[in-house]
Amino acid sequence: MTAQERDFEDLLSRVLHSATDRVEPVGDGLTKIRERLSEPWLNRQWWLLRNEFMVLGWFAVVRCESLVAMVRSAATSLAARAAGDGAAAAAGNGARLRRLAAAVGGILAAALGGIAAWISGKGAGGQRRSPGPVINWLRPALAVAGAVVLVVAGVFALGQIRQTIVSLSDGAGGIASGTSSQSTGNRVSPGRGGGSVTGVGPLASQAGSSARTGTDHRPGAHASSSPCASSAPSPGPSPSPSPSSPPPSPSPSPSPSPTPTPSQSATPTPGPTTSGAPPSAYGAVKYRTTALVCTQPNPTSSPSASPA
Amino acid sequence: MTTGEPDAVPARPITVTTDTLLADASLESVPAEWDAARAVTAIYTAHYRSLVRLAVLLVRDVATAEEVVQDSFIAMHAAWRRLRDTEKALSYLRQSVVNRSRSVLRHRVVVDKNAPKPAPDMPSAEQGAISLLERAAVIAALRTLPARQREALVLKYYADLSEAQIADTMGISRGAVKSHTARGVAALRVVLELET
Repeated sequence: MTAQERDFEDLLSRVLHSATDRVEPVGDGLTKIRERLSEPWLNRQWWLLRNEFMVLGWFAVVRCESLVAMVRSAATSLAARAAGDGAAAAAGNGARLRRLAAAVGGILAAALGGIAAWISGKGAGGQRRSPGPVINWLRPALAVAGAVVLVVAGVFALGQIRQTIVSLSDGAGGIASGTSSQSTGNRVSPGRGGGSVTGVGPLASQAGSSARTGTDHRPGAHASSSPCASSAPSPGPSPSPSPSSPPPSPSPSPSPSPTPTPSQSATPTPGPTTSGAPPSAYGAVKYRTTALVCTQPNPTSSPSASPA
Repeated sequence: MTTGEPDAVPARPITVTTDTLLADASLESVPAEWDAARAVTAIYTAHYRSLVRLAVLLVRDVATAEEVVQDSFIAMHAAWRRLRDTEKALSYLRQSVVNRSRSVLRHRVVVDKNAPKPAPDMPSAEQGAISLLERAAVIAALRTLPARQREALVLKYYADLSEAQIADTMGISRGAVKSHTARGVAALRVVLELET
């Protein structure tokens, strides 16, 4: 060590001492310490517990806010998709569930990390050399128990969310089937064969497969109308059910106004149809129904069946 | 082992030398059979002011430093029965003060981001203005150092602790203490040379 360095260290020591010589504690610290020590043990523990649980609750709320928003958006999009493409919705379900699982895993990891940091922080506050009495572990044990409760609640909530999503998608198909059964005979007679909606109705255009629309002229297809089927049947009969060349219908069948349901965003991907609809389905209404119901894949009946 | 009755313990002559440097106080006179309240009183009488000053150098605020030291005393009181070596109560306190000061600084980082910058210390026209300037410059340069380097320098040049004591207090190795100290001194010199 050179003399210059020694001088600098002397200067540093002198400055630090002189800088703190002016510092005098304000008030009687011992009285404050004794006041705080004289508080009932339960009060002190409750205060500490409350603060720690407040931090934990704040952490959970902040973390769950994004989770709730994600679940809400997932439910909304699933509700939209449920009326549309079932296969795509199922894939989206899987992706969203995976994301949910990842989010829950992140929450758990962060919570456990926080608990570990809290425990280590408590240990770093002083020398912890002996385990001490059991009562000293009360607060960490309660904090861990609270975290476990949160985790269990999250798992149950996840299960509920999953059930909700599944029932939502199922419910959409069920609603479609129920509506179709109600609409039987009210809208298009079986003798008309639903030709009025063949390739010209708004649902047919949304189904996006006009070539396939109307190829199935089995009677009763109108019965499997979707919830939005009230807009689909147009009074004008379509003169030609040929899928290859849908003739211009003189009737104002493609009325744009009756498209109320949000399920109009159905993708044109034709999913496998199920047997939920009567076999006499016609045209777009038929495809609408199959798109709704295909959240439960059943490849037994395909809309690509050859025209009757 | 006694029951910790204060009357059963022989009276201990407490020298109220609050300017006692922390390194000199091994507190070997605190018997193990003392109860926590009595130990707190004895250590408070002897070292409270020094600990507050140590905390002031770390947290730059007297009120906060007092709170930090009081919290450390309360923690020591709670952990008194867990202390195997009650002679190291002062070491426990010192370590607690340093750790709590770190926590305070950690919490203060967010506040300092948005807080208005304080006005610089104006040099007084009194006698010793040069030393005041020098002191202000050194303290200001000390505040620019990273926390670990600042702690190492304060513990070495204010508390006059050895490297082993600093390592024990900061919870790092002696090599790390040497590194932090050397880097801190070098950084201080650079800052002060730039200012002059």
